[in-house]
Amino acid sequence: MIAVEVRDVSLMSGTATLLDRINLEIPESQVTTILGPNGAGKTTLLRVIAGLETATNGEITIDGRSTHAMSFAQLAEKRSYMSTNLPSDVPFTVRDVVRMGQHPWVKPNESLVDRAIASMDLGTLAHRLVSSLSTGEARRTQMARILAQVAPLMILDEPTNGLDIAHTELVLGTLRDSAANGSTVVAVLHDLSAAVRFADHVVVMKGGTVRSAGHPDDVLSEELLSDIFELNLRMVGDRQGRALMILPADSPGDRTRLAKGRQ
Amino acid sequence: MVARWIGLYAVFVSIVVVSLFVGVANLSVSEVWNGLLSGIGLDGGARLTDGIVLNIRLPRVIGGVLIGVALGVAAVGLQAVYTTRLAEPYLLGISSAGGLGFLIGALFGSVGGAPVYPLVLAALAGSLLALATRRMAAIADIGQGMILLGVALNFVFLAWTLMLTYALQSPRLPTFVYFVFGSLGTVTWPVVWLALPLVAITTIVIGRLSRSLDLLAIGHDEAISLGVDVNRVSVFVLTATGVATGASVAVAGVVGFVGLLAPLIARRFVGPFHRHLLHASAVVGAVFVLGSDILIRGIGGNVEVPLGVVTAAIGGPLLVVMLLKKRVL
Repeated sequence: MIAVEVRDVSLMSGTATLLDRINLEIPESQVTTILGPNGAGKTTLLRVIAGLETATNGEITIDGRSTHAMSFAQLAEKRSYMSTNLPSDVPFTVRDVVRMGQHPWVKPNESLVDRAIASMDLGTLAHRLVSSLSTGEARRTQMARILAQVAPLMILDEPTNGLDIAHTELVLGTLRDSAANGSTVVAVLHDLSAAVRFADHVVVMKGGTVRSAGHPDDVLSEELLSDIFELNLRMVGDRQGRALMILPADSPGDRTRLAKGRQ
Repeated sequence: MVARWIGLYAVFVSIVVVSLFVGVANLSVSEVWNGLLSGIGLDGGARLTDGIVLNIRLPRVIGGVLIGVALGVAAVGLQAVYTTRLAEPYLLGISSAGGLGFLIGALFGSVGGAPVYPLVLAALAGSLLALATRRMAAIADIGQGMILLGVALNFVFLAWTLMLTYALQSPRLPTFVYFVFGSLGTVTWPVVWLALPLVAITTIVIGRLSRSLDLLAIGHDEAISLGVDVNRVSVFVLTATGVATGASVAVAGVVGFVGLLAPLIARRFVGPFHRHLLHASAVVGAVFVLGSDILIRGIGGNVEVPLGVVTAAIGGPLLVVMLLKKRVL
């Protein structure tokens, strides 16, 4: 089953083409990660799918229904969205913000709010003001809000940004569990090794276009990744056991010389 | 929480009562009481003191409450839309735009003693500028830095107000100093009756959006993802803000810093949720304006200090402290 279908979507900003005729299918109840270098259009694509930006051309459907035909309130029942930027100076407590995740639903479910707080290891911080939290704690608060929204499609822009390794695992594990329970997860991740380990489906982007999409084993190769990131990359480890590492083939000194050579 | 509301309203009622007693004429409790009764036809109404209470002090007090409510509520709305606690009608230039609109309207004269044209043009100019600030913030992609643009706009409208006043020298235009710094000294019933429904309607409009404003306060992307039509809510709030500010300008001229101080204090009393915050900011705004006005009348002298001078004297240092604490940008 297809959860999200992106048909011929382009987005222009002035004369710049941010997304160029993107066609994409995001499978239901799976974890899809979007990979690519800075400026590839990953965040823009997520925002267009989430309905935060309107495509210049093309159409996006969620569960077979065009997002154009849905109000913001209807969209909020279908998808949740986490921005890569953490809002500053939020005057509410952690619990208040997580409870706001229930906004799209008529009757707030307090036990769901409690579960979301506990699952993101925020129990002791529930009554702290979000503005007083560290970056990682604020990120987990946003994640708990997403969980409390219980939308069948979760769209996340770098959900592990600013998290330590234990909390990165916690967030990725929680998202995998959500997919196992029927949610569709789409996330931009910059940690390539984590992205491969975590994903059922990958989308590789560059220059506002999709270069390749499919199962990580079918799509990801040293050649493709090296080409995309313009850097020699090596894949080390066990692909089947999901213990794959993607590392630069050259030492940092070599790369500096390479960059200087390009200038 | 109940005790805090009782405390807030106790301060409000006390300050309203004190306001009725402070002024050049030294009135006794019975004189003020009889004056109020005469207004509802329960007493003679022919005494000089009745006229002072009914036609000078009462419109002055109600006018003060109106502008306090209007600016307190408008500021809370603006702060949610711009996600900064520095946003308020004066610092964004909305008050000055309303002021210029009022002056242009004043050239058309009044209708039966009521400043209909000035008030309509003040509300229109305030709303248009409030909506324009959002467009400008989007074009320049400056978001919270909008305040700097607002300060620049403030100077532009002030300059045009000054130019208009000097160039035309019209007896229809209000006294410049009292207009650009605000004063409750010239409040009359006709302007109170005109401004009252506008302030009431805009307060209700912004109040009905309080849940959406809560979500805006955690970030615009977050609000959209939770189902808020941010564009629509912002347009409603900014239009209402401009109308409320325009109405306040028609009552007492351009009064600054009320919108900065009222939400700040209100937040400490009732927390960040807008259903309570809007209400408390309205009450604190009214208390601040009436308190400043009592101070002005208490200072005495032959010439009254403009209201905006006192609110700026209190609010200006507060702004400096807020900036130094870096809690607002």
